[in-house]
Amino acid sequence: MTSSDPRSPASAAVDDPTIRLSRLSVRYGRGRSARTALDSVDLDLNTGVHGLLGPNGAGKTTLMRVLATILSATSGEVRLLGRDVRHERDRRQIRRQLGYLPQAFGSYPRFTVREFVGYFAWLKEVPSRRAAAAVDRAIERVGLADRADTRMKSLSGGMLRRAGLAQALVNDPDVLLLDEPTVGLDPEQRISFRRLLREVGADTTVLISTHIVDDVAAICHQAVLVREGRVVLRTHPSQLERLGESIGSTQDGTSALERGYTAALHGRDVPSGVAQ
Amino acid sequence: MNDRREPCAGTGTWHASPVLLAAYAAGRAHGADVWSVEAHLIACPQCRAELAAVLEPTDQELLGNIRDSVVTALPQRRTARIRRGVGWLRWVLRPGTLIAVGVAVLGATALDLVAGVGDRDGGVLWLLAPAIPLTGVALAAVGEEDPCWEAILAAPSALLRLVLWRTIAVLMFAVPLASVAGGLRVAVAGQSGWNAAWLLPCLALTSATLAGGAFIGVERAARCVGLLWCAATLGPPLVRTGGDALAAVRLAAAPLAETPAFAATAQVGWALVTLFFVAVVVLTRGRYEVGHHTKGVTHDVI
Repeated sequence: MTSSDPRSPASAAVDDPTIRLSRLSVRYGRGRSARTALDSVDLDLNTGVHGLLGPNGAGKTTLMRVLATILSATSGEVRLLGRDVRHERDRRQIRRQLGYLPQAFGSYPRFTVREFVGYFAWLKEVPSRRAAAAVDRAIERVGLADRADTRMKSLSGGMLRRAGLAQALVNDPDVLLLDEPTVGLDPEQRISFRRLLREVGADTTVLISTHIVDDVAAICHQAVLVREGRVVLRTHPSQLERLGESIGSTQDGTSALERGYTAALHGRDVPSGVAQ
Repeated sequence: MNDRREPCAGTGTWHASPVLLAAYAAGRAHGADVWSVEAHLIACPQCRAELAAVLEPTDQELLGNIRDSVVTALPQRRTARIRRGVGWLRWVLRPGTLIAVGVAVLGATALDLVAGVGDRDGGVLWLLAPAIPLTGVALAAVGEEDPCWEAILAAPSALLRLVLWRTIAVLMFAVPLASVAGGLRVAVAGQSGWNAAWLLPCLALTSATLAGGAFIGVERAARCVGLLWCAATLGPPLVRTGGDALAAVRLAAAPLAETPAFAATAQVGWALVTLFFVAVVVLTRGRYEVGHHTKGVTHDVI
């Protein structure tokens, strides 16, 4: 495990962070129809659970895809685990240590959960000697052990989502990227999901893209706000909550956190203790 | 003791202090302390991670080895073990590819029978056999329509590895099947003999498909190579017979032993072609992942 020991933030930044983006830009299309999805993003992330928050179209999924090494940057540098994603050999090594749950994620109806997770263990080059145990462990961690030999066509949406999570965890990744992971989970599942992520986040760099603000408050050590392709704020979720408490009332049914998120997104200063 | 680090919400605010963990790791902690630390460790991954950090290296190694042996040496039932041993066949053998190959072999055999090629050599089946596995290879690739496309892309060298293994599986199925079908047909006619001349052309066409797949996609490459082969073998006879398909099949199959493509000297050429395309696949393997494959991915939601 790289950089998993607790250090002061300063020394960890001098050291190689698990994720380092420098002036990352992504543009779609060419010429007049070109659209900028990410605009000169600088971001360092280390061990822990980080929440990527932002409205639809802010560039969250683009950022996740770049980090998952399946979309190349138009300009700028992307380093994961101290390696440059542009080099084929480095990229391959990164991918072995990567877990990725995309936003749009289907399933193979005729596969059992065990076969499905085993397929991804094979794809991620988990050594065959360890594969069977790794598959069992991943399935158990997401709470699908009793469904391991059930075909995926008879699973519910929440279970499929958890099978997707098992797929991401099967290689014991050092970097875990989850794009909208809590969609389709019922409240109870959401709670066990949070517990799992807290556990994983102890020695893994986890980045969760979501627009459910409560998820971020419950799981994340840090909230990263993006808007129109830029990172506008990095802070602890409790700071957002404090900002929310300082403004507006509870009459419109929003939580302090939601108000804080909205205010921060539109450029309000966050009280104090803001990280970067 | 309870303010040493920002607690994670939900698991309670108490965490074992570094001093206590160190004492516990060294076996110096006593009675109630040991119990409470152990009870807490079960529920708290954060403290578990910190305990691991303060363990003596020898203890760490010992625990690691024990964990490894417990996990890998779990007794398994025989059937479960076998199922796991061949589990990879589940994603390497695709039923669709095997069905396609079977249909192609049946089709070629039927063509022979309908045209009444007779007992010569093995007929048009041998002639088309090099291209028959391509019907399966065409279905071997993973594309954007795959439900887990993005997750597969993010796996190391996944696309090329999948295609290679599936292609091998198709060949392992197609070669014996075509051989048996052709051999049977000749045997029914009262002769014996198995024509091996098509094997090297078969490898050459398959490797050409994989090489082309890096540039235009495996499915399209398979279709192009397959059609080219059919045009080259059945085209000239078709022209000579003025469009009479059955007569053309008879004409094409008749001098099979003298078909230039299967001549002994041509085999050297096929071997070189195979080597060339294998080299192309190795050199352009990077094209099987990021780059042109992701074009489709980028166009939907951001």
